[in-house]
Amino acid sequence: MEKRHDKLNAELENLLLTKSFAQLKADEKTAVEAQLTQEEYAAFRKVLLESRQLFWDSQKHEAPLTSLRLKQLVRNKQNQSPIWAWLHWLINYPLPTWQPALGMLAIIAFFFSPFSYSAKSNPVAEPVYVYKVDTVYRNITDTIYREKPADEEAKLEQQAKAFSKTSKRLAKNKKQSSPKATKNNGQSRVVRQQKQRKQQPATAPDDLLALHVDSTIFNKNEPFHMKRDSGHSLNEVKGIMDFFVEIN
Amino acid sequence: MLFFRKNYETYSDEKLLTLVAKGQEQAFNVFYQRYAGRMHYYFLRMLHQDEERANDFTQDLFVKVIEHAAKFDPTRKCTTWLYSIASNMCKNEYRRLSRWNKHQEVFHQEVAETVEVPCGESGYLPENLDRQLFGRYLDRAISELAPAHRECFLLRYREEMSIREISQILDCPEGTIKSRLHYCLKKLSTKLKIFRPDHLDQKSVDYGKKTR
Repeated sequence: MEKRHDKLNAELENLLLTKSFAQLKADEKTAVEAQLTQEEYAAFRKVLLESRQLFWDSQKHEAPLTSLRLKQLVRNKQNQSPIWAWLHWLINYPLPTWQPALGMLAIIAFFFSPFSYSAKSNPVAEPVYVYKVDTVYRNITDTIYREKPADEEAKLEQQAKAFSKTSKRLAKNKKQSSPKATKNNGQSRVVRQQKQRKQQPATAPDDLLALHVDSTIFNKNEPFHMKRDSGHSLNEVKGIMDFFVEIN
Repeated sequence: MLFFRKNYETYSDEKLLTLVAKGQEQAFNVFYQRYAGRMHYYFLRMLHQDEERANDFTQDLFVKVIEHAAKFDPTRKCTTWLYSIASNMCKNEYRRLSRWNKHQEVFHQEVAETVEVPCGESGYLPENLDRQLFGRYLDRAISELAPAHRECFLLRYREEMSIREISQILDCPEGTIKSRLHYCLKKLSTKLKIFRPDHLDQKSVDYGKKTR
């Protein structure tokens, strides 16, 4: 069985509208018979021609009268300002219903969802401690006691005599600047020295001389911290002196 | 003053639409006179010969034309744009109707009943009756076609549009349009097989020559 086309091509349509099957030429007949039988051709032709006649008659079909509404719409168009026309377009912008519905649902979900907000995620809820530390500098006088060998001073005097005048002056100066010493009895003795310590800030927490903390921010139970200096008090020094005098 | 009066009748459809977009009432009147009849007939055919609905749809179509005239691309053909809107309106209506699926069923039943006519001994109707009835039943049979096929048939043989234009309006390939037209002819000829296929042969040449 030969293949039948199920598409109405332009050539076949033209033949249907202009020629009956009997009027077809040999080559046209061959082309038509490849697609339609003689009966089909006649039936198609009749339908086509009658339809055209039917539609031709409908050309007299009268149009409905222009309504006042349409005329008014055109007039309104004339009076419209560009801004209003733009607004009108914006308001009437075609939008699928699901889009605004989905938007509304998303907003509701954002505000009412239990997972959307928690105190943990709020950085303000976490307390922030601010420590204000002032470093205070204080002058400290250290008194140092050290044992000095008995022959050390005699050696110095011999050396001083041996050298020149300048050396003598140096020795003299040395004698003047040296701490007050007791008489050399050929025994070792304790020498008292006073040293002015340089002003320096505390480095380690234990060395802090004074720690001032802003009490409005400092919320822990830590008290004001004040540590005594590492030197000896005057009373302690006096006690030690007395101890050495008794030994001597 | 008459000398300076614009003659909108000579204007092209595209030019008229541009003027409609600017609110020219006269231009709209001319445009309406050109297309209202055609569009009304189209809706009448597509909406099961419902006169009232066809009126409403024609009105709605021209409302859309007024509102969206500014969006019309003048490089496109006006009829293509106009029939695209009309086609979409019909599709929406079918979609609405299909929710009930009632109207069409009743209509098809009615047509199927009325097409039943007595035949003679030869299997065909008597010649005089054949001529009288063929046009009437063809009209009915066209209405009975599926909407997509009916639309193709109307646009091709009533509006005399090219296959390409129809494919643009209906947004489908040209091959589909050709096969739909073939299907329409086959369906109509099958429905109307009780009529004599050859009695038009004498006057066929006249019909073929008719042009608009």
